[in-house]
Amino acid sequence: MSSLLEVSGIKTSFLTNKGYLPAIEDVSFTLDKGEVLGIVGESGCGKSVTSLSVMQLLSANGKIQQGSIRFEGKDLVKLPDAEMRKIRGNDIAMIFQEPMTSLNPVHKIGRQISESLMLHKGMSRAQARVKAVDLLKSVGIPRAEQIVDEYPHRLSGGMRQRVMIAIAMACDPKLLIADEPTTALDVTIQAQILDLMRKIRQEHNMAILLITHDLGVVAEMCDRVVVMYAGKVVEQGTVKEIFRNPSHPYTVGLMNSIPKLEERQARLPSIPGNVPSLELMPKGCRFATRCEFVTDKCIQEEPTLLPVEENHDARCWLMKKEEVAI
Amino acid sequence: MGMAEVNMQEPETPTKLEVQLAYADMKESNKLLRLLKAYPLVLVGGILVLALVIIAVFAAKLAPFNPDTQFPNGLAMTGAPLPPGHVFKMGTDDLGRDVMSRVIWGSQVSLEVGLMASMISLFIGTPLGIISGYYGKFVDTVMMRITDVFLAFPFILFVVALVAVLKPSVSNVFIAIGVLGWPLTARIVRGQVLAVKEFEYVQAAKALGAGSFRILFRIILPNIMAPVIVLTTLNIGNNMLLESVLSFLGIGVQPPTPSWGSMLAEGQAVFQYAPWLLYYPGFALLLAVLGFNLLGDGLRELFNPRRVR
Amino acid sequence: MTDALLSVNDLKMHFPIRKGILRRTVGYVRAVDGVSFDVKAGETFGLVGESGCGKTTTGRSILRLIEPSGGQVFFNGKNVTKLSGTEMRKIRSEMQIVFQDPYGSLNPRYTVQQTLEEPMIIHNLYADASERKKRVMELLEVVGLSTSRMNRYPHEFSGGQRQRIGIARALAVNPKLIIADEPVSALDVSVQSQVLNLLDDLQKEFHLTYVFIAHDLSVVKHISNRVGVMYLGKMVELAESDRLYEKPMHPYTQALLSAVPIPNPEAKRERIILQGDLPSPANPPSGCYFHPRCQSCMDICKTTAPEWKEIEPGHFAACHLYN
Repeated sequence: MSSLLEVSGIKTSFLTNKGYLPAIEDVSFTLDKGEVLGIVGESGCGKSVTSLSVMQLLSANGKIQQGSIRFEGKDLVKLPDAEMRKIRGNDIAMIFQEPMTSLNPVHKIGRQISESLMLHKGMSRAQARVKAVDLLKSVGIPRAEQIVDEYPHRLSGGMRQRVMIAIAMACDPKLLIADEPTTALDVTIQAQILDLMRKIRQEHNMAILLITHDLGVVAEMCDRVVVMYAGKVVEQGTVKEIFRNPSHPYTVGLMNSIPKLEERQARLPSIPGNVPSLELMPKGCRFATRCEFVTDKCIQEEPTLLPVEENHDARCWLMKKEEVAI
Repeated sequence: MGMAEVNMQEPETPTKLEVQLAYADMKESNKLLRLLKAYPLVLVGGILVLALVIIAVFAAKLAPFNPDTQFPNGLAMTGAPLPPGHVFKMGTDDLGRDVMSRVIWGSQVSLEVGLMASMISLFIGTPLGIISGYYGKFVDTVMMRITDVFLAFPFILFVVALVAVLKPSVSNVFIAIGVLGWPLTARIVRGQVLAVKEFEYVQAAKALGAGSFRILFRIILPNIMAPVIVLTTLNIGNNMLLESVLSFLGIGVQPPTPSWGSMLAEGQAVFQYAPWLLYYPGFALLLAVLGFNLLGDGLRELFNPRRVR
Repeated sequence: MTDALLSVNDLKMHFPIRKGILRRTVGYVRAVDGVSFDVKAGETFGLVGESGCGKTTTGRSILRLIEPSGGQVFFNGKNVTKLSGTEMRKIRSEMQIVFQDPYGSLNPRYTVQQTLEEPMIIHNLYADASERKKRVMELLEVVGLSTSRMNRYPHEFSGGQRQRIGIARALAVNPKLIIADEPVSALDVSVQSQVLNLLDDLQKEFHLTYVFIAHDLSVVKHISNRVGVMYLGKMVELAESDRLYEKPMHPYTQALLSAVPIPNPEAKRERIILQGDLPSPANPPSGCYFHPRCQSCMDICKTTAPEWKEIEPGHFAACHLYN
């Protein structure tokens, strides 16, 4: 089976007053039809830049300098704007973190859903309205017939995120990019939205690229996961593999530093220090400044993604050593 | 930032990694330099304002003649004003006075009115705005309704009434403009206070036991100064313009005191055959107001933390 | 009175809703609606709930940063709600607060040194500048920041470092009680654990008592000895933290716990997904506030508010199921 989305070796940079600084480098992953891939990492790791690169929605000072993003065989990086617009909202849809600001406050909800239906599917206003009500019902919005004529400020955060999902689902996309879709929501509402996304994915056999900082969300939603740190992929593999056998010291540290509900810990293990800033990226391994296993080699030379098991790689020299030892 | 991060766990023992990460911090002077680079017009504004101040301060030295002297040789045989020439660089007006000297002296009136009126607005508007924004409730409601009345009041009518009660003079003009201008300052200050007082550092100061006076003047005031300074700078330009309007209408600065507005009024009658009587004071006014506006915009950029980092 | 350091009794905070030109009061937002709990000296009391449940308002009313509209707060036996302005300012040195937002809680125009000296100046703690400076350096060391940057402004620090500065400011006046209002919610996971550990260390070192307010159940569980769960301005359950997580009694607590995503893909568990949204505290449902979303809702729940009862020793809940 060929992949739906194939991102290979992209480098996205932003123009600052020190010239172009890369926010992400050498990011590669694939996403199959109907699969849920999580990209996880802390703020500044480049996970959002990655999703915006796929959508070709980078701000004016951002630029993809290397690599290709193939969606159904077409390279999105080289695609002209007009072509990309046809894909956006139609084949690839996106939902954002902030349901408060991602809906236009001056338009009724029905109109915001109908818009892409009329644009991409050529529906008439009346047809689009009927479909909009259907969509609102399908994302679990009560009183959909009335809500369709309401303005966004009348809805709660959870309801707005449902509306965002309805808009995203309007054209039955093959890929949904969800950038921290539940971060701004309360836990019980988050549970509702995750449940809804799971349901939609099954019904439509849609692939989801889920960007999040929450390992709990990853564990519950994803098939495979990409862990990012300081603009690079540091580990990738199936969710089960990565949670059973986290191999990059960063992934290990991240998992350990979450307080666990099921057990009592006297003290939380934590990763010392902070993520290095873009201008001061270490020459070798980017995690070397915070890693407890750091060696001279780590400081001198950056590791590549090395295989841990089948379908599980980590960007760490320790992987190599083990191989030699065995 | 990188250095102290690594430092955080063991503050006293630097590691070799830390040395690699250390970097020089930006100096404060670089900030100004980069502002000029990103926003070069602020330099133009600054130069114009500076020039205006110098001209106003040294008017007596810079003006070639007494601005009120009516030169017998300042009029043509027909009694018409002289065009710009060798002696009178900017020509003369219909009373035979030197236009250049009058434009130079006029800068004093403009600057005085612009500055003083803005200061009056600032000193009335800032405390009232702070009190209104901080205490809210009843005080705020009353204060804002008063500003509504002021802002809705026809400006010219107010000045005519004021001048009728007092007497038209430079000081009465800036009092009138200043007194009418405070509601705008008060509103902007109030808005800033409303925004700033929600910040948790204000709550933190309260939690530490700071009194109202300390919170208002040591914590809130410094944090709202930037927009207030910008507003005041822009106000100076506007107020200079207002002075000209009033003088043009004859209810502002009275003759023979030279003011750009009254010069424009006088020149208007004869502008068909003596257009220079409008050009020079008009151009001076344009440059002065432009100077303050560019400077104000530049300051806004300087204070905007997102623009210049 | 028990051995409680802080005792909150039927605390109420009703914000008036005003309308019209005359700003007549047309109703109240019952942000906090009769909350009671005790906090023992030296313990960490967790206050958990979703947005709009009134946990932050509770914290601020205890410190009288907003004046509570009803109820009493006893601190060290003194009724805080009755104190005069001067007395209140004095007692503020004993009860401090750490805020959520590491970007908004520090005055951007003060250097770190000025920020930390401010409380000392307000309370006249040290005679001269050099003593204050010594104390500032001491405080920075305590919270794990290097003293070399004490003349810098807050924007030059990262979120975690700013939170440390906020903690140092609270410590400057040697408080007994610290109300920590979502102190780690804005931080990344790896930095969050650093700050949690710091809070833990400081508690041991200075015998601090914490009221720890947060929406993240795992964080609250980790740091607290006892936890109170709030819903729509009311306390619905209170118990020892292990007990609460092992055997939640109130259906809301059960749903809340089951909704937390567990970072283990192989964990099997039953999930309760609550229907509907949080009702507005301006117009709460009748009877038990939770009844429209409750899976075990009975007839009595719709009409009568449940009583706050000790169901097992030390385990309180307000639910008709346990009558």
